[in-house]
Amino acid sequence: MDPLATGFSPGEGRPELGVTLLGEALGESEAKLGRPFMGPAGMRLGRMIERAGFKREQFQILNTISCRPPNNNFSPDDAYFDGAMAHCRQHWEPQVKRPETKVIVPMGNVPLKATLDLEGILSKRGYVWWSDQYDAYVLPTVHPSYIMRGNSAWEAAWIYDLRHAVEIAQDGWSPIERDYLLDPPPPKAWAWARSYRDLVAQDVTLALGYDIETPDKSAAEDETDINLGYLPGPIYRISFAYVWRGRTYALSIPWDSNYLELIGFLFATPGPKIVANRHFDVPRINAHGVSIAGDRHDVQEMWHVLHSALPKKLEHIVPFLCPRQPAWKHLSGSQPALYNAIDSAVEVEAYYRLIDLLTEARMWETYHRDIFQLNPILLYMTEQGMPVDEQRRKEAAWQIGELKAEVRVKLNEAAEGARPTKVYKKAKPGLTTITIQVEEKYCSECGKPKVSAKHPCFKVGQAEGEVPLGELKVRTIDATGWVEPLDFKPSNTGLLRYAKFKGYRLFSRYDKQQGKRVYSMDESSLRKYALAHPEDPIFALALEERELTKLAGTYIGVLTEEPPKQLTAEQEYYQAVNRAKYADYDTAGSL
Amino acid sequence: MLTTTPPDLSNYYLKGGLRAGPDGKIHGTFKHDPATLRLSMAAPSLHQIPRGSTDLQKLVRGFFATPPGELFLARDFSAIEAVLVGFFANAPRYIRLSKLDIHSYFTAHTLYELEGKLKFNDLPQESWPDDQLREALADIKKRFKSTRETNKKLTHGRNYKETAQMAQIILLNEMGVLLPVKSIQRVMSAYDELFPEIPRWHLTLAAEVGGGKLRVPKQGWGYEARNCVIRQPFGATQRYYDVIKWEKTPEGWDWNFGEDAKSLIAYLPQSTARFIKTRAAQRVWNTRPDMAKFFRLFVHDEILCQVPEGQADELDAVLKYEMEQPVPELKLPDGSLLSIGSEGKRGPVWATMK
Repeated sequence: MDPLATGFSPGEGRPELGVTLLGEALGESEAKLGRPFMGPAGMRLGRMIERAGFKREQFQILNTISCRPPNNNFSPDDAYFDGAMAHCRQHWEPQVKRPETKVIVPMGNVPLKATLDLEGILSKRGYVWWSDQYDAYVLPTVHPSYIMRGNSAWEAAWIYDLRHAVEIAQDGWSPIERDYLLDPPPPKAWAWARSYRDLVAQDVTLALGYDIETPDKSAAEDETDINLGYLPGPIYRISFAYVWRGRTYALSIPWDSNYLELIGFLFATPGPKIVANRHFDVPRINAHGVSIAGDRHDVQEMWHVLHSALPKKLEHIVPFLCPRQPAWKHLSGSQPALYNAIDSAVEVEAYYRLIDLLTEARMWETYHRDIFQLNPILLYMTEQGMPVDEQRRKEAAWQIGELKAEVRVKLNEAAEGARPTKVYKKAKPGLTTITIQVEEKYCSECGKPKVSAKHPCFKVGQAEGEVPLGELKVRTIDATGWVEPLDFKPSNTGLLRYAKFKGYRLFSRYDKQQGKRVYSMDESSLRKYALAHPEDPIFALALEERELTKLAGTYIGVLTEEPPKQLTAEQEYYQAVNRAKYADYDTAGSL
Repeated sequence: MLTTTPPDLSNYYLKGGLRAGPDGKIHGTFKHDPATLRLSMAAPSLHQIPRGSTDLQKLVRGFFATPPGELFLARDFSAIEAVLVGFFANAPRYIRLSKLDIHSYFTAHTLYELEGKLKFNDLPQESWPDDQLREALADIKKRFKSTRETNKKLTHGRNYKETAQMAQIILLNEMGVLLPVKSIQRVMSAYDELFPEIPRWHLTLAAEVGGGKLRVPKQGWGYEARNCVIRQPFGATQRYYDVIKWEKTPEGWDWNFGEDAKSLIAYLPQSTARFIKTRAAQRVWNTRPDMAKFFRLFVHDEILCQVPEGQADELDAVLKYEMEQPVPELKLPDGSLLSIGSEGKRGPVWATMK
């Protein structure tokens, strides 16, 4: 163990309710007191346990690392990570292996790695695993510290997970069983479809879940790049599911000509159609000439009404809504048909659960009237679009271009003397000359400059017994140089360099991500400089240049003489997918 | 702004910028993503395009134009969030002043109390009838435009528990004005003194949702609050877990506003405003589909339509009627229903509607 580590806590408490909470490592207070979760995270833990309806004493509380790591930092990047993980197992493993522990709740990435050898707590939380090693269920959740770092909405998830863990400790858990029909021949698929059609004839509220699979779905799905929904982007698989008398029936079939009629048949049935993220699936299905009958509900939107501050991606919401569904997203590559069928199964199950939860919370009316009934209006407006006058748009782009060129000239004028330069050693017509210092090789004997190895003074020494007269040396001399001033670039670096050159006081701001104060030339800082140095136009010009760049790049566009490339629908689709891949995802985050 | 005529641009093409569909129109998609259930837009978002009144900012909205014979027509709720702050703070005088022009009213007071630029006798009085007060406030707005604009930002921030430090950044970024934090604090304190109902409502709400002891007389109306949960009049509910934070004082433990306090305070007016707007649009959709077919965009507090010139008056009347309807969900303590005023504008180009 690293000699800089401090403190020791073996953990505490008895799993009176059958649940052991497993944290990461000791903090300052924990190291001092020799007890787990005694600092701010401990206070939060205690409060959350009480809000869940329990008492701290009812849980066994352990840490994966029984001491405080150096600098209070413990991550897989640390050299001692693996060693410390292995070493400290002797402290917590025997305690969770006792029969009193029915459910282990790893809180955060470190205990998740230690118990299940998995990574990515945010996508694993709330799912239930069975561990032969510990003879117990494992139900990971987020660490209280994560909740305290501006993620307070996750407290609802933590409380839910703890209650679920206690429930499992008392009543046990088994994964849900469903009837899957995966890649059946068309006659069997038709039989499935007719069964649903017959049932929905009896009960028109019988919902049909559906889900499509597309290339790179996960990336595009997160971004919901719906602007290209009119493009018939490729779909390679579709699944449907319904719940009848408490059992879920799911079908997954390829999206190809053998099944297209059947797909249209199912979508034409009158029952409600349930999907997760309608913005992604619906336009693509429509673009293939298939229309969808019946009420359309999106479980992500329903969930958002219920818990609007929590993420709404399917894998995040399933632990709340289908608690007997084990993690399945990892099956997408190995068992695509099963994966696809589970998607629509959990969607339709979640739909029924959400109706109950929204009704219980007196929010069904809010969802139904203010989301579901509003959506047709929103969809209508999207379809209508906002009219654009192409000529006015081009004129705006031209104006921006002209203004930008003017600003560039003014920037160069204002930055005269502080502009970056390029110096040429050879004469360049039109440029001003300056004296520069250059290195020059010369002969130490005769002083001749620019000599080579063949220089006579050196040759004297090449015969045996002869000492060379001179040797090659280097000296610094003054010479003429030609200076070309370059454009002043109002970038962060360029402006900081300029402010330093002018001897201005530099403004700093606190950067949350870096956790320290940094010198910046962001919009706020630029305004501060502009106000502090009203006589210097450079900062106001830089602000103007940035505004123009943003207006052109984000909204208006830039004029070009080159006609746009005519892309096929598929090429456009893949471009959109690629854009989505590199776009920010609003619930991304790691511990 | 350039005044020269652009050259012939017919041989030029546009690269980048807002992406148009095959019909040449911009088709943004509406989503319900914000926690307040306000509408957002994506791919592309027309909610994000510049709204300012400078020539540059107008350039973007300037290329959205209707074909000949048609107009854009928009109706905007007037001071909807300020009126709702008054509603939830159970402050009838604040509601009245918000409907008349609370920013000018407050500006008059800062000009008198903090800057000495206005005499006591020139202060608009709440005891005046609406018409007289409105006229006086319009005069203040005209004479002290820039002070009023600054105060408007500050009061908006104060209503949502914004700090003076953050207000300084907002003023700097949005108006290019750098005020010392101390003078911002003075203005904010003056606001708190003039409208004590607002800070009392903040404290009440935080205590109710955060679970702290209430230190002031209870001030609040029209919502349901319990431990960690807030429910607005239309039934939308949100959970907040860090509304208060506990601090040790010489007298023992006491609470202060926590990380979620600002979001909680903003939630009620912002979320409620969304529902008032969409419900009005839904009524038009359900009762006058012949008018609702002109809907094009819900943006901020505005319903934007594209309408043939000959039908603009009728559409405007329908929108005004539905938007200004008393809201059954917003019953005032005296039993009457709250209603919000609206303003209309129209024109063939989005940027220059009047």
